[in-house]
Amino acid sequence: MSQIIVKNLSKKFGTFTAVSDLSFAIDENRVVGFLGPNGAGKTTTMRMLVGLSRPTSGSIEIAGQNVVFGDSSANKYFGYLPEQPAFYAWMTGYEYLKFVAESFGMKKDEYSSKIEKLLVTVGLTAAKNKKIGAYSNGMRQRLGIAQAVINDPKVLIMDEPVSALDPIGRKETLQVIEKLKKNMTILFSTHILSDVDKICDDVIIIDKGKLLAFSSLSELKEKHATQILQIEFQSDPEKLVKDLEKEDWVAKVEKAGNNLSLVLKDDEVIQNNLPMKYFSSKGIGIISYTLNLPQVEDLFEELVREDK
Amino acid sequence: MNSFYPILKKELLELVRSKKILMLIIVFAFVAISSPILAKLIPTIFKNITLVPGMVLNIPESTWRDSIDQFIKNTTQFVALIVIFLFAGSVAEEKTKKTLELVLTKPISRRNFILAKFASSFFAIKVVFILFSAVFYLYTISIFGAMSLINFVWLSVFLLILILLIDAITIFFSTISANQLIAVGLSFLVFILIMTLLPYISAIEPYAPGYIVNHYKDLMSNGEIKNFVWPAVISMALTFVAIFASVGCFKKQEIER
Repeated sequence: MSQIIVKNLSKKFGTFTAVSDLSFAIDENRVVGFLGPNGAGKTTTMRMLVGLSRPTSGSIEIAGQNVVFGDSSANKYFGYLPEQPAFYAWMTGYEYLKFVAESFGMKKDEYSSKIEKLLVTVGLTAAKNKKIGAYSNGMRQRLGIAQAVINDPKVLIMDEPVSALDPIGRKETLQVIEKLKKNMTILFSTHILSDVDKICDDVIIIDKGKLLAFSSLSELKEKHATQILQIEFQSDPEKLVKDLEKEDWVAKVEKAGNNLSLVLKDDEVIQNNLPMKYFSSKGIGIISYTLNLPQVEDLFEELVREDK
Repeated sequence: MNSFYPILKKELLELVRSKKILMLIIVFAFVAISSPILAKLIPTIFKNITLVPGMVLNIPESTWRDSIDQFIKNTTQFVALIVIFLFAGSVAEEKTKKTLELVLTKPISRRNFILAKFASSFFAIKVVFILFSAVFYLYTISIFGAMSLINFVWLSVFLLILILLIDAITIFFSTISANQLIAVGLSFLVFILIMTLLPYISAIEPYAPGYIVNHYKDLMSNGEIKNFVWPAVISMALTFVAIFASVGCFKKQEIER
């Protein structure tokens, strides 16, 4: 069953179209990376999903509930974490979570143990009675995750949850997301593509407000990204670059010192052993070679380049 | 109304933690205590000032009426201004500080969010005003002797209605403004309009919210309240208009990043 259904969603600011006729449906318990270059419309889309921004047209359904701008009824069914969550600095972490729990209609006996468990999950037990104003960015982000999941939502929407964090904060936050992903549908935007490889099942890629791709990560890798052959030579392969670029089986050549990266046209290049046959026929010595699987970065670059 | 109480609780706690309630108490306490003292001391001060050698100023002894004069003057100046400054950020500050983003993605309706802002500030103003009006009354009668309690209660009620209108207008502008500074400016302009411009338009003056400020002496002298009913009703109506308009505008507002 789809937990997030977006149909023909558009958002215009005057004459500028930020999101254009976007449609997708995300199934239960999937972790979906929402990707796109800066200004692609990711944040605008997410803000429409959680009711902070009014769509120009289209419809949104989360956990079976229509999201209607200005109506908070659907808010019971999702959790939301903006890029840099802002809290009441005068509250303690515990007080904020209590306030959020009460807004969901939870009673004291219900939320007390829940908050304690969440504080353990996000590693804020020791800081629970500290004013939020004294929290570090990483602590705020983890408190942000705790407030977003206090109601055990079916859907969790996060806008760049780790981009403002240092490497330690990023790692801690990703670990928390890893723990949560078993029980909920997660949609999160990020520009750190290696994070998508680590925790996502599917990706949605948009550019200029339009959907470029929506599929499982593995399918997308198979469908779009070609293999990359990394070769280390005995001597500088400068002269080889132009010759290789003329070969039918080579899509792109990149040189770095004595190394060449060959983006291969298709899978058959390796199946037919074309690279080794080529170097052997030319009598060129090779120290080592590695065939790399495609990364999300490569897919992303390729799709955005194709769109342009 | 389930989501109303958590947000109301948060608002009341914020009034305490942000020391807004303390500032309100300080200003109301200053007005309540300084008004009778100033009324008592001003004649003595004037008597001791010799402007021209040999000239004698014949100033009558002050009475509870002078204390009331001071009370009205201070209330319309200090109290109204502190209400504008303290509550102009109610909604606007949540926009600039971005705290609205998380709150409005919880099951807290926009209507309840705005109503809680009004309810908490009305509650704080009412409690502090009633407390320090009582202090003023007791202090005035202890210095100047008897003064009509019932007439003073009516005066306080009409003044409170006026202060709550100023608060409602301030929160309305806080709701529609992008930041606190704009809200302060717009609220202050309307305050000037109500207090100084409307009384000059003779056709409007008997119904103007600021009527009490210019005619309180009649009320304190003869206890006749009928002339004050219409301005009070209109003030309350305008207060409700400000509340409904705030809710209506806020429901349509997109929360910008």
